[in-house]
Amino acid sequence: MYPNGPWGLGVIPPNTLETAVPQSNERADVVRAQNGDTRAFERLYQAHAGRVHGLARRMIGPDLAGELTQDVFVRVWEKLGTFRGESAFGTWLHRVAVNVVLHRRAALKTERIRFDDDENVLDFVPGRTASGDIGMDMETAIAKLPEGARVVFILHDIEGFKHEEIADHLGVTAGTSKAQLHRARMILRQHLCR
Amino acid sequence: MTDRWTDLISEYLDGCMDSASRREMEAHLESCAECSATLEDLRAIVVRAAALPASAPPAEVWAGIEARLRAATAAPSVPGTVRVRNVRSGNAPWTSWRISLSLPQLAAACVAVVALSGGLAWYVSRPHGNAVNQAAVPLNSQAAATMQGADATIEDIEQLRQILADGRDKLDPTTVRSLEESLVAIDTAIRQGRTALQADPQNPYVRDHLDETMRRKVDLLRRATQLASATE
Repeated sequence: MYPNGPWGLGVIPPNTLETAVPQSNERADVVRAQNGDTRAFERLYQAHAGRVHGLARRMIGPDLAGELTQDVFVRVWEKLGTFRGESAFGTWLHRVAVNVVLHRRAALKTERIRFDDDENVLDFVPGRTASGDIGMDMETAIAKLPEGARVVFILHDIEGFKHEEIADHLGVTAGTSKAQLHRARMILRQHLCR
Repeated sequence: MTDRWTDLISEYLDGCMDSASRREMEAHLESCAECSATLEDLRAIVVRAAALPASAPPAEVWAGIEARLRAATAAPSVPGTVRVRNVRSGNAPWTSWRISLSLPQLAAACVAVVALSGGLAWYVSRPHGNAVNQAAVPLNSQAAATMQGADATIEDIEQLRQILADGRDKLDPTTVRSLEESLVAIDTAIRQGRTALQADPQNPYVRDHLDETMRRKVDLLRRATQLASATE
């Protein structure tokens, strides 16, 4: 049971390749980076790039994930001066990342029709792989979810945001976020658990 | 199992129900094997989603970031400040300028826009019959700001140009040729814009044209330096 969503407000979920950087070291690197130290910023990048890249890949697709990861970290660099340490650096960085990714997503929606908002899209996804690579199987299934359901599923169940936060990011109601999440889970269940 | 109960399973799973609804749901789950099975499946999906690994980005991603920071820190050196200046507003982040065109496409677009807007700038700034001696008109504050911004941007441009020169041999020759032709056209437009603004500092179109032309040049150079660094 998850009283405040799987990970609770502002708590970074554990699905990350982030290096286990002691908080004090990270804080010191943040201060150094705020003073223009790009080597310190590179260490921050190494600690958080996996999670940002994963978010970008799932939200936008693998082709643009690298470029989008660059955009996120350049944006983080530009905004470092506004980070006051009121939350964990990773939490702050990830919120910047979500904003950048959603902004790009909105721009892309006007350029292409990549996502078919039709539950049948999952009919093209094979079932569980014989290799037992359930993680990859689930990644494939998530990628094939209808757009609205996929975005909410990623933000809630993978990234740990609350419905109210998701609603704020996406400009929808919390009720819509809940409905899309349930829809996503039920579609995934149909595919992954059949 | 009914739709009513099914639709509430996620809310129950996420702990979003009030205590009365939760008790009602739990009572139903005790008597409905299908809903119980759905609950367990969704619970498994949530756990698996949370356990999905992050994905390490390719090494060239940091190289690209570093190149962009290098280009940016060639201007002010402290993050949180504007990296490459927008000469008009002075506060728009340069990353917001990026558009999704290939370099040759961007170069061609730059030249086309510069040519069109340059023609209009010439048209609106040309002397008229009742015009005063415009060469004698002092710069107003906006025009002066644009000219100062132009000087600062030219410094940025030179730094970007140097970075590009270091990586130019990594670019396709056709791209390099297209880039050079575009830069010549934009340089010409900037020179004409400066002259026009000195002659007619009150003219907002000329001022905007000069701002826009320099912005396009910075954008073109930035894309080129990114491309050069990405091919390393």
